[in-house]
Amino acid sequence: MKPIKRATAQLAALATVFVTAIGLSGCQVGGDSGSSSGQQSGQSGSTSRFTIQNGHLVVTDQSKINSYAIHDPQTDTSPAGVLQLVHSVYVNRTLETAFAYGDERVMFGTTTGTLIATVDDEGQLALETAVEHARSCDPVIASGNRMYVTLSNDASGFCSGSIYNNHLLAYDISDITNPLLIDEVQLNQPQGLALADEQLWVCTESGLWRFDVLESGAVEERNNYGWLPCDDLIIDQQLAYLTWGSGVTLIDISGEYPLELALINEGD
Amino acid sequence: MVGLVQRQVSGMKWMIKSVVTSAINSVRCSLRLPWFSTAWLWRAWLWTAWVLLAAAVVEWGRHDGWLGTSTVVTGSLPSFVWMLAAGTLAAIWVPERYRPRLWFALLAVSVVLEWLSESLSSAATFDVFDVLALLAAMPLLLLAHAFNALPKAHFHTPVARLSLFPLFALQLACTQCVDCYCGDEGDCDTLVYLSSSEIRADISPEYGNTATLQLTGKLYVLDGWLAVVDRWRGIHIFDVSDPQNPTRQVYLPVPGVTDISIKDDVMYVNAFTDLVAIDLASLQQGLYEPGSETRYFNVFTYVAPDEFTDDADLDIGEYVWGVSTLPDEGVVIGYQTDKGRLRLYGQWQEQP
Repeated sequence: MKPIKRATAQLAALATVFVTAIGLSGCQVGGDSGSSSGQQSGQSGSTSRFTIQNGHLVVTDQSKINSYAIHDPQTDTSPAGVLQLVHSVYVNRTLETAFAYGDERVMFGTTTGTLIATVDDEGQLALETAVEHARSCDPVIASGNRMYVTLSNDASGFCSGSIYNNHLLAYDISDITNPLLIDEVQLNQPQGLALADEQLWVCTESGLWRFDVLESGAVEERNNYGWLPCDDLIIDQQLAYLTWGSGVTLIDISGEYPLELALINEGD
Repeated sequence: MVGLVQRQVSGMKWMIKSVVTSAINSVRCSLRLPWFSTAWLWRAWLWTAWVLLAAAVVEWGRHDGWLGTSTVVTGSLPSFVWMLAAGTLAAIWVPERYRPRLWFALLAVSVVLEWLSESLSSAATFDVFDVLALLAAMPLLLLAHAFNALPKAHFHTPVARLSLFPLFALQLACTQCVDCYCGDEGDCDTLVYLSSSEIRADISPEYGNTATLQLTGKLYVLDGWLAVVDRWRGIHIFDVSDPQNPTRQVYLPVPGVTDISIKDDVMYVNAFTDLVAIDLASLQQGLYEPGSETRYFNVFTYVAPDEFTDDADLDIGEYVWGVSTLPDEGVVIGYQTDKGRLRLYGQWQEQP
């Protein structure tokens, strides 16, 4: 064996020793910051740990999906908010978020992809399909047969690993078992997103973006409001509520240029 | 009887020796390291064990409190001992003729690092005591050498000299390790818990505009009402029927809340491990009875987010690995420094 090869082998061995020594020294303070989903919200609780679908509360707990029957004020007299566990399903993944769309579907963000399940009238859960390319911390919205996902390479590294970092992706999900990528737009650290009146609004590091949604589901850039920073937003009629670093901004989005109406600051 | 004990002891020694040497030699074979003689290995390991034992005793003493904490001397003692250990170990594991060079190298590294730390008495990772430790290691080794107690290493290849590097690595790892056992000053931060009785106390709404928003979380809009989650603390409900003048109507303290969902005038929120259902109608009418919420225990597995404690300088026994269910002592929500500063839910709190 040539000396140079021996040196390489030994260096590798030494590196192993070094790593082991560090590992054994018990310095576990740091660790990766593993912060999960961004501040996601919406009228239907887009990347919440639980969501309400088809009269049932669907709750994610690590690798378990539980559905609870919610008290129905029309048909029973038990006090408001009474829940009853109906069905529990184990999945071989780590669940992070639940997002309800359509009449009975729930999308689950997991650390290894997106699961789609149905909740029937009785609260029984049935897994339909798994989409492996979207990651857990990615805000997703779905409406009709369209699904929009933002992917960002946030600093935590927890969400990295996709080839589509820093993109807005549009999918056709008319065949739920086979989502088709129909459009992609590169954006600067896109976060939360909202869909209203054939317009898609996306929060990014460089402010709020507005897209027109075409017939096909593809999106067309309309405007970028760099002066409106946000992490996430929800839209209620002509009002948008943006969350950002330290507060909430209320804006009027009826015109081409959003109008800032009010600010709720942290500390207020 | 004595003979029996001696035979037992020598038998045990033989067992340990053969296990250690065979383990080392199997590593050696797989890594193609130069041959170590059994006698040399035996002595080297014996020395290593003694040095590590001494270091461990001091560490243990400091952690168990009998050495006291928070003085410069006791605070710096662990790194002193570790440097002494590193210096001694380094000398054991290298050939005799490299030992002086190694001492000087370690000394130089320590002095440079000390100098870089800007204050010679800063009691940081490297301090004056580390330099003193290395200086003290030298006569100790000379003494050992004089009694021919040190093993004679059998390194002859240039490559073998590279084995100095793991020793530096060990030294660095050890000082790092000392650092994360509360820092050299011994100023351990202490964890702050929220007890389960505090978490599961009756929810009592604060009507009016009294509360302040601290950490914006999720939003929920319903019929001119805007619910803003104050992450981990509670929920602020604003009347936004006049969007230019949102007014806070009520604040609900719900420890552990991050998510919110509403159906049929019932607001569902998470509270660490629990799921809580709150009647929204009575809340909006100002008629909410504290404790009228329905609480479901242990619906969620709560894992303390890393950002709650990742900057904390904690004692080794206090590392938080995440809590699966709510224990009696509650959940970890942050820490307090020895100066009294509070970091809760990943945010420094204003000094009162």
